[in-house]
Amino acid sequence: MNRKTLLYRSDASRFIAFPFSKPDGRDAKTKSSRWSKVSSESSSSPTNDPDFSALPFDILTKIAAPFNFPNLLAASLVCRSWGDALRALREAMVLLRQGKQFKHGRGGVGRNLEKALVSFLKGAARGSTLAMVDAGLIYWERGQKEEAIALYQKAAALGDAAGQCNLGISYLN
Amino acid sequence: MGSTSTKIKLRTSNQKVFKVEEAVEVQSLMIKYFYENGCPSCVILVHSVSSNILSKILDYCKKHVNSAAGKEDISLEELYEWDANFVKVDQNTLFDLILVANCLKIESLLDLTCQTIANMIKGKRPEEIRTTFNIKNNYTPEAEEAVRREKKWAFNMLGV
Repeated sequence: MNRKTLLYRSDASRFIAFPFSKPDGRDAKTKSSRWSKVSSESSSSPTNDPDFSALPFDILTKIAAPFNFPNLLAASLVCRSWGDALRALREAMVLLRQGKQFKHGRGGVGRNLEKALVSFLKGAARGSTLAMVDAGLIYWERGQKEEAIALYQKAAALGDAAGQCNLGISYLN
Repeated sequence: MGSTSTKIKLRTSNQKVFKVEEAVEVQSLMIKYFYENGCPSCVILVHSVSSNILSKILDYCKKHVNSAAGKEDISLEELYEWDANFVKVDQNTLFDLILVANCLKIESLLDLTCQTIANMIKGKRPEEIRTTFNIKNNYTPEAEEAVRREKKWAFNMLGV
């Protein structure tokens, strides 16, 4: 059998090891080192209770990407690590609100689609699918359909219902 | 595809070895990477993953590969239903599925499991979410209030 080690070479064990350590808030190492030699890891029992407070940040961001503000705030208040993980999405909500003000000329600001788009794109960059859809709408209205569709696709893939709907409509056109 | 001599093997924490069909491998971007980079018959240790979880994940990959390739007569609606049943599992299992899907880069399974968790969060108050996932509140009252206030100052600043 041809055994190779692509990422790590261990003299003792010529395997590729996926540690899949259960994330543990008390052990910051698991966040940074996804790869490690199997011999250096202590095995965690599969019967351990899962620690949902220690879900990796990128997974939490993915879970909460389509959330509106009330859901996002509730999730952020669950525990400190969820609050930290979801900070970028909370910023995205502020940018989304700002973008809507510019789009509709509300809240004491003049209507400015360019500024609205910038705010929505900043929100989209922080992971919010709501901001992706709003940025997509402005692109669509301007006739920049490829950009719009790319944003709808991204939102749809993250489970955003409006993104999925708009994507469907854009394919019909 | 299909030569039996070039199969990637996955070995779980309880020392069970799974041979992975190439068709299934392509669902996992990580295994695909190994396969395409000259390691078609190596052994991958999936440390601390039980054979239960791994066989469940391989079932998922096989189902999706076969339905996409038209090998299995299943409509899109039926596949959605199959997916919905697939994630009707206890929280231990759901947690493991997410982590393994993330590490093996099985995008559709990661989407599915993340959306399952999202649906368990939506519409709930923080204390209800903590109960659902058995999470302890480790906020100090001040830190919790600071998160609540973020919205107010941010929206005030914007003149809402």
